[in-house]
Amino acid sequence: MTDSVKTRSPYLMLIPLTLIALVLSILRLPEEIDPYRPDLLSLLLIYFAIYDQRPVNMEMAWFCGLLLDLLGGSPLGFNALTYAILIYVIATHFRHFDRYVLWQQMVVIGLVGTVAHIVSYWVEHALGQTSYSASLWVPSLVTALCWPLLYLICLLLSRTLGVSDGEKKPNDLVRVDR
Amino acid sequence: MKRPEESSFFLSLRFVFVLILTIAIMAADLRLKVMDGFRYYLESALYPLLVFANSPSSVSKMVSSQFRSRSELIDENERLSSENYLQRADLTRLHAVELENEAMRKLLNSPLRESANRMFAEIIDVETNPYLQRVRVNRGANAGVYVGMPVLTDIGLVGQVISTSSASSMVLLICDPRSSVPVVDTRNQIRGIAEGTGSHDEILIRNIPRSSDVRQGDMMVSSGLGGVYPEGYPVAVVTSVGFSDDQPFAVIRAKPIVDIDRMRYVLMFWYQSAEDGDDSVRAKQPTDSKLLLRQQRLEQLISTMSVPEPRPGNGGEDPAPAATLDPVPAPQATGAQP
Repeated sequence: MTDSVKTRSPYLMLIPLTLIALVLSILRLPEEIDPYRPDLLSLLLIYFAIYDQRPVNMEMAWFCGLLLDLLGGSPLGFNALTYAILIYVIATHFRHFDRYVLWQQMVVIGLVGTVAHIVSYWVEHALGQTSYSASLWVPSLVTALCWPLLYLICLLLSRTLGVSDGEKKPNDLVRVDR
Repeated sequence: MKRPEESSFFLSLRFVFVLILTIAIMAADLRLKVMDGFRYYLESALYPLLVFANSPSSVSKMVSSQFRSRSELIDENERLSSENYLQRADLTRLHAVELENEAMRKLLNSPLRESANRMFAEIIDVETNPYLQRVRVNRGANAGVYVGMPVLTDIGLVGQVISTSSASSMVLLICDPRSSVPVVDTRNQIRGIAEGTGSHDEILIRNIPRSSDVRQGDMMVSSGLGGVYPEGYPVAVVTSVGFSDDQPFAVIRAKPIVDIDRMRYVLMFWYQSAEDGDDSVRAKQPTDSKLLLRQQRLEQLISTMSVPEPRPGNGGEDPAPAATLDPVPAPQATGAQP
């Protein structure tokens, strides 16, 4: 908290990036690659939940999911629940997520993403949606593979804009690479 | 670690709160339908974002239409005008048949059919959730779209409108798991209900007994029962009929006629009561200014050409294009009137 006084608020970066991620997730894609669309919004929310120095902002993630539901037309709350579960599980069960190696982070994101999708699918099913697709885990896998890219972009942006987060991270990375 | 260690209990408490809130909102949205008005305003407010997200595809379409060669345009124009000529000829006959049908229904004391109207719409967004088969089109309550309005293409039935906002509306496709369409077999008039499976190329026909005569290749058209979908539009072709000894009904799979995953434009369809007087079928109108502009350019291009293009006249009596076309049966006057 003492550092964030000196630097700018992370919302300076979070809000425009969220809007871009929202647009990217409702963009029309060709039918063949549409199932492999990475969920950039969830990665962005994970990044800010982990590297922001304030308390974890789960409600923010929930609200972003709600916006996505409204834009995409799915039942209100489906994506909101997915994102809330994602942030909650990572924040409580992986307390030292920011000290993990990059590939460990990717594995965690992929697994937790799949679990979050399954749980929100259960809730939706209980409320009356009846459909099943066997390729439930494919988007989570693609999303996990995109994590290094988004991590680097966010790190660069936060350095450039002077937003306060990820102080220790580059040192960790260098040490791991050696 | 700079992050203040937050107690896990407090976070769990917040999570439970969010969970309860989500389930309440989901139940309110899906079961009680109390969020409809709320959704209407929010979706209207978010419409610019939807248009922005659709802009890459519309820009690429515009660019590709700008760079088409002159000979391609001329070819397309010739093809379209000959197609138009044929369809006009068909339309005159259809009009005669409609009049005849009306007269016969009067003789039988059946209620008169209402005449149908259509509106052109473009798909601007598809559902990202893989379990649902829904699309959003660029016509909303301002254009007269209402919930329950049937949606077609030139090939067959596509679905119905389930929610509207001021400038866009959501269409439930016939392959969505929550959709059911009353259908009838054209070969032997067996009635059934076509339900979606969530896959865009398969629907199931339910509640048809094992003993009934439905075969592979049968065409299922909408039966008009239930009052939502109009009668007689093609829905699906039966691909397989399966029996199992322990079940009373046949398992009938069918493939939708329309390529639902590829369509780009749809027609919104509604009835107009016959008392309005205007019972002629209207031509499809261009929907947005871009299309109008393109049409204007095309007209200018045609007018600048030195050789006058043979264009079909109003009555379809112009003999010039008929030489290049298949022989068209001369449109019969209403000779079959009783």
